[in-house]
Amino acid sequence: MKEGNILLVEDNPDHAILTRRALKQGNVANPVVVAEDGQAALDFLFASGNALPALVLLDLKLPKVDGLEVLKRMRADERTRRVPVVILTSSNDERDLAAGYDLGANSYIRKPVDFEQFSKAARDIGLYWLILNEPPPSTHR
Amino acid sequence: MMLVVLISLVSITVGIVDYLYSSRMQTAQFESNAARYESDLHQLLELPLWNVDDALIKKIGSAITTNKEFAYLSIRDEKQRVIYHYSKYDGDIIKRELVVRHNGQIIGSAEIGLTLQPYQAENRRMIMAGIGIAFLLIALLFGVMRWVLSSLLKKPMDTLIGSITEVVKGKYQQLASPQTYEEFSPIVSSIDTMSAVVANREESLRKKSEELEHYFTSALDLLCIADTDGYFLKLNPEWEETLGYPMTELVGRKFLELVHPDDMEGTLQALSTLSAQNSALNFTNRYRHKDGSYRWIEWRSYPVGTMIYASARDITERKRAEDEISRLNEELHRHAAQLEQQVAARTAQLEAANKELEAFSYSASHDLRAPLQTIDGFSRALLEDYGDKLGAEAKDYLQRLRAAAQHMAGLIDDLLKLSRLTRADMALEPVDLGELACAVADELRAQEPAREVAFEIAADAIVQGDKRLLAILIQNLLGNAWKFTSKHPRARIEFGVAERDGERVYYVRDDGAGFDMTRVDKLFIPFQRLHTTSDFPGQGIGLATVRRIVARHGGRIWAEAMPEQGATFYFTLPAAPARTPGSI
Repeated sequence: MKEGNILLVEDNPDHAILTRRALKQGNVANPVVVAEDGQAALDFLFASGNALPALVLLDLKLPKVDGLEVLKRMRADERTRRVPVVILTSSNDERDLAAGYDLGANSYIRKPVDFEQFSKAARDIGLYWLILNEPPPSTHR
Repeated sequence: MMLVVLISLVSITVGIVDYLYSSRMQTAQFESNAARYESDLHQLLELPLWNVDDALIKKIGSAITTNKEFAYLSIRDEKQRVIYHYSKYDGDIIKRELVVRHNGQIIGSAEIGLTLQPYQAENRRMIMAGIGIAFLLIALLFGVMRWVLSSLLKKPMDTLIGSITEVVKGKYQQLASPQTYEEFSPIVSSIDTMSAVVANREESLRKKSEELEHYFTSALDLLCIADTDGYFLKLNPEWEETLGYPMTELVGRKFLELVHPDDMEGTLQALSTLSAQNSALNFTNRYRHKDGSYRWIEWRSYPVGTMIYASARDITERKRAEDEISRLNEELHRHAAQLEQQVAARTAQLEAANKELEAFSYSASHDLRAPLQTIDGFSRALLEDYGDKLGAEAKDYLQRLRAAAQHMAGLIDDLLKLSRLTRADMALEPVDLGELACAVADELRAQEPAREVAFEIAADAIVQGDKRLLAILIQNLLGNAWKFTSKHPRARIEFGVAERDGERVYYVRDDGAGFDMTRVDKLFIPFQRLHTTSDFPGQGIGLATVRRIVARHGGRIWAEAMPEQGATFYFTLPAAPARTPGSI
């Protein structure tokens, strides 16, 4: 398993708890940092001294700065351009899907209502992105 | 006439010849007379001159000059002394000099002047008398001829003239030939021939004019002959009907009196066109009917000199219809404009509603599901973490909580799908419904290979539509048929095409559970189900989806069913446009 944090960008505390739980049940051991809105996520990403996360789990509908805007800024910045971003959201709206991929999302997962399925999804995400997937070369900070 | 001229010429010629002859004879006579006078005078004067007896000489002179031929006489002695002198005429005088000698010695002279005048006067008298006689003869001849002709030819000529007069009057009988004069028969037969020919021509002319008159009086069109001064000369009976006046009030009437004041200028212009010997075609104006209303008349007029030959038509009804049409057209345009306005307003409203709907569905897809995840997630967490502290009933409640949350999530998804169908852009193309049906049938059989279901799928069901939406349509209908035949051991599902009232109708028929037709009105309403979920699972969104798709294609859908006898869903869709060669 790759080292590094998982940045969970999620404004709903219930979902933050449930996502942590699902990741834990899916045996994803990486520490989870929660950003409660888009601005907090950007602050974390671009704050000096913070290591880049190994994976960003990004909700779309967020206060202050929404998920697509966060993605856009990440992809526009040299430092965060290659960080894997998985959109994890309730919606499977076509416009969200199109915009997410257009802005450079690596994956798009719709949160299942059934928690067992969600738990399975979390395990698969961890397995894929933190184990199977070869991460981008670490960028200079 | 020739005879008269000939007679005149002959008598004049005879007169002239006679005149010339007598002239010549007179001249000869005159010459001999002159010679005689000369010798006589010489004899008479010799002695007196010798004796110088002047008295005797004078006596001799006056005696001889009594002769009317003498115009001049001058007697002189040898010394040229005039002893006697006589002069009568100034006109043409032939003078002769006579020398009187005695024993060879000249003793005197005499000058004699003779005139022809008396002869000439005689001659003239003679000629005048000749001419007079000639004229008298001619006059006599004329009189005689006239009498002869009139007395002999009058009767036959009168007969002939009488007959010709009859012919002139139009009675073409055979001429009565005068019996006494054979010479008239060629004239009579010529005139007979002429009269027969004229009679023939007149008859054919009469027939033609009768024919024309028949046409004139029986024509449906308005026919008229007028003059360029603006008077009706002859009209056919149709005019009485059209203008309401009896013929007697129309013929000879100044037609301009009947023309609508607004059309007067145009009518005068047409008249001047006709006066210039140009025809006036498709000219229209209004004529006043006796009842005061106006009739639209359309004209075709041809001029011949000062006459106008015209056929016309009462186009009042046509004009009225045209006016009505243009009025209706205007109304239509106004309505169309109104309608367009309404459509624009509705479209704006619809667009606003659509925007709202989009915003709603976006929000719904994010926000309505999130609490359900929370409910399900924490229920699951309770079961996992505190399962040992919960009784069986508590666990059951939590399971029910989770089931409800998941069900609701399903409903939300279906609703979102339905609203997406409403919004999605359609890409129209020819779509083979039979092909789609075959694919769905294969899919269904693969899911439940144990079932005995016979599919019958029509070929050549090609429509114009959005392939993605039509696939959903077929999937729903065949999926329903599959589902509602599941309780029967054997089933038959048919996709077909039929012709109803000249319209192509597609249908999906099964021999499954069917339904009660009294509840057919609930069939296509979202989440309205005619069967319980335990009998046949489902959300009740499929047929609502189907109806939405058919409606978006401009078609209709309806159903016929009997409980346990199966159901048939009919729908219409626009046909694919006919393929033209060279199109892709």
